[in-house]
Amino acid sequence: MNIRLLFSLAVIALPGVALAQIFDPVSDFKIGLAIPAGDKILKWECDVNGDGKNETLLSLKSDYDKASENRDPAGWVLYVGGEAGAYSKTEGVETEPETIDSILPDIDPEACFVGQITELGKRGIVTMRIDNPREGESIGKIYAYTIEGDHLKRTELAQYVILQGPDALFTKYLADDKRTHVQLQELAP
Amino acid sequence: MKSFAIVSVFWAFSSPALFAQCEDQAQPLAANGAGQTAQHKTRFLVIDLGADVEPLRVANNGWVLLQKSFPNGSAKYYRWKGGTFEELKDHLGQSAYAFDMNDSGAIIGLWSQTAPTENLAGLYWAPGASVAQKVSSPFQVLPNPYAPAGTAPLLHANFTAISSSGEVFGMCYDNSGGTYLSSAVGGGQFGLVTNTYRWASGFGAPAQLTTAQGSPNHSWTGEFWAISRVNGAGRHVGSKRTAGTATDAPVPPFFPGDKIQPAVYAGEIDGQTVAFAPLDVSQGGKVIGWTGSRMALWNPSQTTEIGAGYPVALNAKTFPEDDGGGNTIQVEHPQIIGYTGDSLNIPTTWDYCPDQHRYVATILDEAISESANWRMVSLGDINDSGLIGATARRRIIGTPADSTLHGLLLLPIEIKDLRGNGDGDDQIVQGMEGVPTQRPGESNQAFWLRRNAYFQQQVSDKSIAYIDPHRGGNNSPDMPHLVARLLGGPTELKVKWRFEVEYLRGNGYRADYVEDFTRPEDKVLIPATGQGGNPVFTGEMDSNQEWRIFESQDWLNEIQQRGFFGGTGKLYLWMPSQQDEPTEPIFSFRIGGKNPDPQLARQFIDQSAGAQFWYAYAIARHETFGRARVNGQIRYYNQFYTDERGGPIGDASVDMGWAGWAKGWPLYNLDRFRGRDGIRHQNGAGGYGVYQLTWGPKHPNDAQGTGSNAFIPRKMVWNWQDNVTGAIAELQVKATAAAVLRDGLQASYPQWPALPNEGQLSGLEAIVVTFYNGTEGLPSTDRPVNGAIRRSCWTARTQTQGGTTVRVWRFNQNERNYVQSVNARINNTMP
Repeated sequence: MNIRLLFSLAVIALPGVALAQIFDPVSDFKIGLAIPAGDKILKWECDVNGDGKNETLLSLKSDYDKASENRDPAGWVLYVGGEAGAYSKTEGVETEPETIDSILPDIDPEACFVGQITELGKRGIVTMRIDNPREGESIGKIYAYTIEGDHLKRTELAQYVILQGPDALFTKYLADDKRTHVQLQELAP
Repeated sequence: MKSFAIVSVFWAFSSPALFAQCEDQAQPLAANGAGQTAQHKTRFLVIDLGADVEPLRVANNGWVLLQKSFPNGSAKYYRWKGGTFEELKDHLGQSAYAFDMNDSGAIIGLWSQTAPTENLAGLYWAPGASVAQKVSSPFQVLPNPYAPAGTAPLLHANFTAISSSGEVFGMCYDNSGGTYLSSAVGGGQFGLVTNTYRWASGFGAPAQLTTAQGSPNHSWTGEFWAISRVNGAGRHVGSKRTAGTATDAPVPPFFPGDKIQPAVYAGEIDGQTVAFAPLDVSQGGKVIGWTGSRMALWNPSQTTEIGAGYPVALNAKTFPEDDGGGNTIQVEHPQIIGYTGDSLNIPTTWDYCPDQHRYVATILDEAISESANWRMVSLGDINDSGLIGATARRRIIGTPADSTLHGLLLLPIEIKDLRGNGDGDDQIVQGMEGVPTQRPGESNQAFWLRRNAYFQQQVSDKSIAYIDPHRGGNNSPDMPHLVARLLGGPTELKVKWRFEVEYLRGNGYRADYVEDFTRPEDKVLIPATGQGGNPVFTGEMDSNQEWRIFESQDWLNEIQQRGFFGGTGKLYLWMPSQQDEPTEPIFSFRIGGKNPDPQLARQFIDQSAGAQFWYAYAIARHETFGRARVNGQIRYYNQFYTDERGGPIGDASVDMGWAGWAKGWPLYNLDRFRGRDGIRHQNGAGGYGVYQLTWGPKHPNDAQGTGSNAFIPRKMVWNWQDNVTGAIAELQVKATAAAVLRDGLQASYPQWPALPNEGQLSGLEAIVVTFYNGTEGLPSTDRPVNGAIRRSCWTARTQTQGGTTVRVWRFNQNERNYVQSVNARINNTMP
């Protein structure tokens, strides 16, 4: 482990949960990645859980571009903002009860709402993806991601046929005048 | 005289109402007009023979007997020999007429004068002679009714028809009683007894064919024939006059005291009386006649009614038929030309439709395309190749036709696919209307709508030259064996050809969101392009010479270097007398493909895939599932679309696989998606053929890589075996990448077990199959795998069950549930 990593990581013991305290999410993000020359790191911040501290979301620009090319929302590594400038990295996504998948949340920064989700009674991120089956019309799927301790929870809020016009939840959360306008920063790795 | 101004080219085609019955079964019209039934098109090269010219006969050697009229009422006759006009002279200084020409170009006619000793004689123009040979009657008729008693006898002969073997038929006053008959028909109330004769070549003593006999009291017995047409076997048709019952009606003043004995008029075939007017006889002996309102086609065993109309001529066109013993024989079903309409003045052709066993009419005037600039007026003759002599007036759309009558020659153009190597399986390709082009000021959307409808019409099989799926060695596919020729073209007429095949990728379907991925290799020129990439024509060829396109070196090179090709075939014809190269094709049709036999396709796939990709057949089954059916049953391993349309096509399509439907062209999946705004976008070049190979960059102008990172090569679009080979090569690439992912996953998630099976596929095979289709919709691993965040069909899962943590692998289907679909095809019982 190099010096930079030693600086960025500190492990503290909490009852029941062992969270890695991270002071430099970008450095943590790069661990294990062989970042191609010329690539960038995309970063955005927002207060997902409403605790007054911003979360940080990171992705490689090459992954983001590839996902966009495939009409997929990009996968983001989400660091939860904590006390004293420390962050904790979410580990997996709960897709079913008592089931954690080791995957990243897929969030489309251009179709994204950060704030109170009334359907769930809590704060989180609302985003969507569009499935394009070979047969039949394109289907929009609206998801919510909420922070649940050391991981995220994904809840499907709605499915609708794109051609039939925006779903009520799309209008509520993801319409241009309602969505969160995310500012992506490009960072040199 | 050299040629008059040549040449215009037009399309002649039947209206749908007239010809639809002769086409393959039509599909209902789609809402946007796409999918309408194609019109059958007969293509003609039209040669303008000039003003005031009327074609009388068209010989099988392509020569034409012409009459040119002059304002003073006089006429001259010409023999047109492939662009050269030979004036027919008699050197006798009197009136000469030409009536008939045989298939060697020999012409007979009539010379007349008012002299009392010889008022009629036959004329004969040998094929190589422009000056007529006069043939006088061998009979010296006395007393000469036109001269004082005791003076010179009368010579009177009349040629009426000539057979292909050179026998000449006509009539003579022959002293058969030496007196006159009275006739109520034939333009006179009196005349001398006449008999019908046949002259052999050399014009020695003619053979007497009829036995009309006069008598001193001017009554007569027997009959004689006025033969108008003769075939090569000597069968003749015409009219006959038989002695009727004498009456006391007044007689001409210079034969006082005589009675009228009118002739009874009737039609004759070989001298036998028939109850209709026989007008022409084919080489096979069939006779076309007129009953007074309708047309009848006669042969010795039966008379068949063709329909309302007045016939002019017929030819000896044949069709292959089974003789009842399993042998294919050529059976004559002549083409007929004539007139329809209340006034019997509408030039029309009748063609035998072998599928329906009946004749179908085509009104030529309605059939001429807007660009033809001709309005048909009259018809003269049709030869056995279907070459039609006619008259027409020039017309400009929207204005009345010019009053000047022009003689025209209509030379049918034929494209043949020698798929049977010269036997009955050969296919005469029927032409289609050309590909629509964008009109000045027309919006792209309006243009695409028209052109999409053109590409997506239900083309008749007859208008498609098919790539055969198994005619090549070891059941490999084979390109059509195309041959072009001008039917009935005279040897003297020279032509140049060129052939172009053009394919617009995506089967030509275009919409606002559709990008054009067409590559340069999709356009094939035969002969190959000259300097600067400009099209070039062949050297001069005799017009009756076949252009064997499929044997030309450029055709062979094209296939060898870049593989099979298809699309819209466009044939161009250039005559040396034309100053400019033609810019519009004279004949358009489609080159498409037929699907491989499922058993043979499966064999080839299994052989190509080997044990490593044992499941490759299931991918092909899924990719072609539902795209073609036979008798309602699903058919697999399809490279090409058929008549089958499993849903709305074109703009109305909801299935990506039907958007670009075009009969005979490759199965094509238009890879598209809707954005959040509902607008469609294209997502790459789309997939082709058995394996729906989706190769290359996302946009047409993006830089290409190699292998599947390059745009799919043409050969994989048109050759089902190349498509399979390409798929196996791609699977190999995917297998390498899949193994890297598998190993990386297990390294990054070491606490998890080995990958399980997914259905019938191993964990690794499931990755290969997923990679083959794409990673859209897959989640990203939350740990770096092989140095990167990976979209993966396998992701690590942790489950808490009763306080126990269990680590398993979760299989994620991609956006199209591809692995699930392939698994479903693995256990199918169909091959």
